[in-house]
Amino acid sequence: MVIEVDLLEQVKTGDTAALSRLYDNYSAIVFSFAARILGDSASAESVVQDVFLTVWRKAEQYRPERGTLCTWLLTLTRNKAIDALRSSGGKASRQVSISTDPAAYEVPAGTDDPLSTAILTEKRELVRRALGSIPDEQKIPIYLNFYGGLSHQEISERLGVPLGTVKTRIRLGLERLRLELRQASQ
Amino acid sequence: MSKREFEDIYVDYVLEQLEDARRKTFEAHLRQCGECEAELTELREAVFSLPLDLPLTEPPADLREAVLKQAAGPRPVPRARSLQPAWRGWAIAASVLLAALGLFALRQWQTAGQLTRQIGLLQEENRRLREYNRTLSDRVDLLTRPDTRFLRMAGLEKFPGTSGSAFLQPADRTAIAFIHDLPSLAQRQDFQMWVIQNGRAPFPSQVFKPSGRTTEVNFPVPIDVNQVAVLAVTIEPAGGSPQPTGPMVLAGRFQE
Repeated sequence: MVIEVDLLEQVKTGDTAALSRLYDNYSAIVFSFAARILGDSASAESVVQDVFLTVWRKAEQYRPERGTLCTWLLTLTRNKAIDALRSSGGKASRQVSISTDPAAYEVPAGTDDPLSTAILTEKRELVRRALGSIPDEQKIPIYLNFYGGLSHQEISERLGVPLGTVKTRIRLGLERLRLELRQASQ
Repeated sequence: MSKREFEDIYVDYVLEQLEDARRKTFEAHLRQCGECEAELTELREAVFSLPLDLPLTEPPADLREAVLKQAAGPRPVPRARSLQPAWRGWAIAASVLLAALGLFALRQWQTAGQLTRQIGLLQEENRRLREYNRTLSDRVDLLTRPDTRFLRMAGLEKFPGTSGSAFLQPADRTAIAFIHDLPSLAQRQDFQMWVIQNGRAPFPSQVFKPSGRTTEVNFPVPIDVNQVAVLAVTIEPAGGSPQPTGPMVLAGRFQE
């Protein structure tokens, strides 16, 4: 965390070496996340470029009291990717193509991390374990919203379950995730 | 806002499912409730940990070069879409080349690339640590010189949780302050340090943003350090002001 914040402070002073280190540390997760939302590599590349140039131009917008640098980067990534998805008119097709199989979003067993994501390896393990404790019926609506950009109403129609049930499942699933991560970090 | 109301709404807020009016009401509550903001931060961290469970793929190597090239200019410009076909061209060319090299050569190439990158990271880390070491030496020097003046700062009425300590060095008229638990700023606002001499208007000094729980502020002292009566921090429009305009967050006065 300290090194992350130091890097961002250096970025604010116009240090491109610091930006390059941030890129090396986080480009794989940003790219993979954008590619999951958008469904194609070329669009994901545009989002990666957009995210890191936003970091370069607007590093002052990061508020450490609102979360880690990684969370800020992933928030930027999601906003830009969902915007791109909507502006390209891809939402309709995504509603058909987005997977409702939780396994489609998870790391296959035995997969090696790219070198650049070694910094995230420990947290990845915690998240993997935490998600293992959440039932699929809660994970699916979470994934449809988080990766598919679908509203609660759209998820309700997609899964054929009442709107209230969708909201409850999402809330229970995310609170469980939050609790599991909190316990794992203590 | 009751605990129940908060729990009904905060997941929707993080997932950006709230209508504008409810979102604004919720944000107004957050600005006044540290407990709710902390819970929200924890939830946001959990939600945005989800991508850590995705299979990870490195972006094409030439994308890194494109990003750094744009950042290197005197004034970064918005993403140039015309570059994209070039990346695609490179990506296709790279794919063809790699296929031709075969699996063994690919493996060798990956290993060499990883080692090169690792060496680059270590070199940069080394440079950063050397710079950090120099900064630490400067701080120790300032804090331990016998003529350094020390001042304790306390949060004002509306900011009772904020506190700080400042060390002023007369010889080079520099100072360093460590400020704890600054309040959140609205957009387009900064904190600003003021140096005050009895009977004169405050001298504007460093403009800064909070950084974590403890914010370190290095600032120049525009007058003789021994003439400084008060140090104060106010909230100002982004970029600072020539005279204080916003609320005072904390201050400290030297004993006469």
